[in-house]
Amino acid sequence: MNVASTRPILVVDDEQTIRLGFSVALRSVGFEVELASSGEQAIEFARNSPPDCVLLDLRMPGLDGLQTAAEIRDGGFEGPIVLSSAFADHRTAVEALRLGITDFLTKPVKPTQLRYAVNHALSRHARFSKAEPDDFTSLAPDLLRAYAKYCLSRRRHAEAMMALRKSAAERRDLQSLLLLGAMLEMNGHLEEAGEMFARATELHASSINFAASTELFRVFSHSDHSIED
Amino acid sequence: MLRWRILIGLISIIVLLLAAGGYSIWLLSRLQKSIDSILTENYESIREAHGIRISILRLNAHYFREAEISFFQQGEEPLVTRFEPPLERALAALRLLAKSPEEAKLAEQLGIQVHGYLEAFRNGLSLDPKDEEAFRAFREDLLQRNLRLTNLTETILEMNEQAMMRAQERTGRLVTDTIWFLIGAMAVALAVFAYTYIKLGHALIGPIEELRRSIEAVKSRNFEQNIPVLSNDELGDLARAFNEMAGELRVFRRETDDTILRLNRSIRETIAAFPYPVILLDAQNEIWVTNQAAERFLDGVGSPAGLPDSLVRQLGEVRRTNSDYLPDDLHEAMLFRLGDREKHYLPRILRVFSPEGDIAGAAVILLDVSRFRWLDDMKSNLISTVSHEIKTPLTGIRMILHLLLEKNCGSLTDLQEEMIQSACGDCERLLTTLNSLLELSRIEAGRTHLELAPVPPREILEEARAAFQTQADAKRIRFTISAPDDLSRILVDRKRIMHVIGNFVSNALKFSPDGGVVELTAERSGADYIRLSVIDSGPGVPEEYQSRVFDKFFRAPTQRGSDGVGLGLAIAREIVHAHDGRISFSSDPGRATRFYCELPIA
Repeated sequence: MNVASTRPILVVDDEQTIRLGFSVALRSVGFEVELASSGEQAIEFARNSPPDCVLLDLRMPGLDGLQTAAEIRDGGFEGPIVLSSAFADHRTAVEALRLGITDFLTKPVKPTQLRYAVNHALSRHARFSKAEPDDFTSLAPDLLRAYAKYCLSRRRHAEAMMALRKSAAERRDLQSLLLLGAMLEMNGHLEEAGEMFARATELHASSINFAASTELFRVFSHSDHSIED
Repeated sequence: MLRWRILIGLISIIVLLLAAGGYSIWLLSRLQKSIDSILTENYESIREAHGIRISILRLNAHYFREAEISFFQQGEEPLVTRFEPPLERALAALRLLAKSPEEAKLAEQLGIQVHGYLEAFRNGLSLDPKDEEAFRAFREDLLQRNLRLTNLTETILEMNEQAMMRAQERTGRLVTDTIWFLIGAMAVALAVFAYTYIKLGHALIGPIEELRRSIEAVKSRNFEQNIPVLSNDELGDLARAFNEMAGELRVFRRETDDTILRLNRSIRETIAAFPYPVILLDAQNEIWVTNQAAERFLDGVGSPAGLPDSLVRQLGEVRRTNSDYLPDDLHEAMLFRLGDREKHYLPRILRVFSPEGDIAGAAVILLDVSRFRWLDDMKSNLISTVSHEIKTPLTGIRMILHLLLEKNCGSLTDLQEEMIQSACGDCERLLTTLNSLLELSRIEAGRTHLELAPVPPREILEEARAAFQTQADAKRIRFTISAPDDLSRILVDRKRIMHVIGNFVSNALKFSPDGGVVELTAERSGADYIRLSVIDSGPGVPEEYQSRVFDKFFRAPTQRGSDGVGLGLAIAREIVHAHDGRISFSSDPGRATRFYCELPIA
């Protein structure tokens, strides 16, 4: 069920019950899990033994999720980071994107959702880190988005943007539109970003959405209003 | 009196007319008489004189013819006897016709001459034809007499001709006199007419003009009018009546002014005593009346001379739509910075009408709702904070319960599993309630961003049916959808409107009897709205609860025991209001209940 991972998954959360729940949920399907109860602890751990994936709570006393992610990235970690929060908002999401975070979990979360998100992030990363495509344009259209996310985690923004544009153009893909909008906003192209979000909204209203897309939509679409659930 | 004056003016003209006419008739009859006398008297005189002359001439002629031949035959009636009577008649006539002693004398002389002539003629008859001497003397005498007679008749003729000439001259003078008299009469009539006209004009038009000016003045509300009473006639009466009326109007106005003044004062005092700013504006949006609170407000916002822009805009909207602006939602409150304080005012703008029904101005009342807003914000913050604080541990609990149910950490007895299942269900319910509360406080705080897009109404109904089909099947409830194909699309946030309709449908299913029908309809409502309705045949909303259906946490007592915390319709209402729509229901308890919302056309 899970992607073979050689290194542990680092779960960072100030809530003891959450740490317990997350670790049980992941260990029960064979993942190795390390726990950290604060940002500082997580940075320390990541520096000593880089994990495969970091599952990071956004709101924590001391260093918060974004600050922690920034430190971990600065320490050279290029793997996937999954941001879990009951309190995500658009600005946070754009900021997270800048730090190469493309996976979001909104609490409360069921064990299956948690495992899905982690598996998804890991398998994507595994696929491309093992063998990077020489030319992403030759990728199958349904892989373009995943490749863009991979590039984002390595902070190869220009490449990510091109892949997203291609994906958004070829597949009318909701996630690609949202990520592209967020990236444009990140780079200050607000008008074009607004256009992307508008197209995403239209698409969202007229289509049946998969859980992951809806998740991302919730995180990104409300440009001026915080999301508190 | 005016009537008399008109009468006198007209009578003088009539008298003049009659006098001129009468005099003309008299003159004409005199003229006729004088012409008659010329024609009859003188002409007769002339004729008689001629008659005499002709008789004499015929006698002479006869005589001289007879005398040449045999003179007179014996026994024959003498010619003179036949001529005598007519000659006598002519002489009598001439005498009668004589108009002067001179003429009478002439007629007398003529009579003597004629008689003498006849005498001589008769004597001549008895003469012996043989006596030539006597005949010669007789002839001589007759010739002499004849000559005298001729001269006399000549004189008479001449005299009469002269009389005729004189009469003609008289008649000519008479005609000239008549013409002059008529010209004079006409001139006098003209003068009288001119005098009457000018006099009457002065007497009539002057006062009427004065009255008209005064009426104009009264029309423009100047009651201080008094027109002079110049005469005692009808015009004078009119002027008096007018003055009385103006006086009455002055009194009436003074009384009205007093009433208005009193009313005005009490209104001003009432307004002044009002703790909220009250501003009355005239038709040009200029400030007309303010109370102290309003002055403080206007000074505070830094525009003492006029309304702040936001209120002017709202005022423009009121004028444009011609409907009062009477919001009751605290979120319609406007934020104003008064010095260093922020205050929320809920503006109420009412149109003020003139008696003619035009908009004559507006009354702006600013309800200070800062405290309510503060309380409301506090409440929202409280709900939000508490919800989040509850949510975090709940997330952990839920995760652990789910993990236990996965039995990866060890097997469970049936009882344990049942207990955990039950706890899990409660957990979900708690989360749903929390989410509803958060949703509501967020929408109430106006922090919800609507993703508006045009949607065909039918699609929403179809989607609602699909979402609730399983639930309906369980109660053998049938859905019907009625929506015209040509219905305009509505501009809505699809997910949120689905939430509203889903709430209606969920309630309808809950209260419908098994095997019932739930109708979903879409129809036009006015020019700009589409009404989406959900109609069930359940027991309906009891009358005593109808006003509270959309209240938060409201659940009818009959509803106790069923799930839900009574936030569904409150949230639905907030969503619909966020769309500028309307939400309501109509209930015919025991028969049908219709919950509906009206949403703007795209």
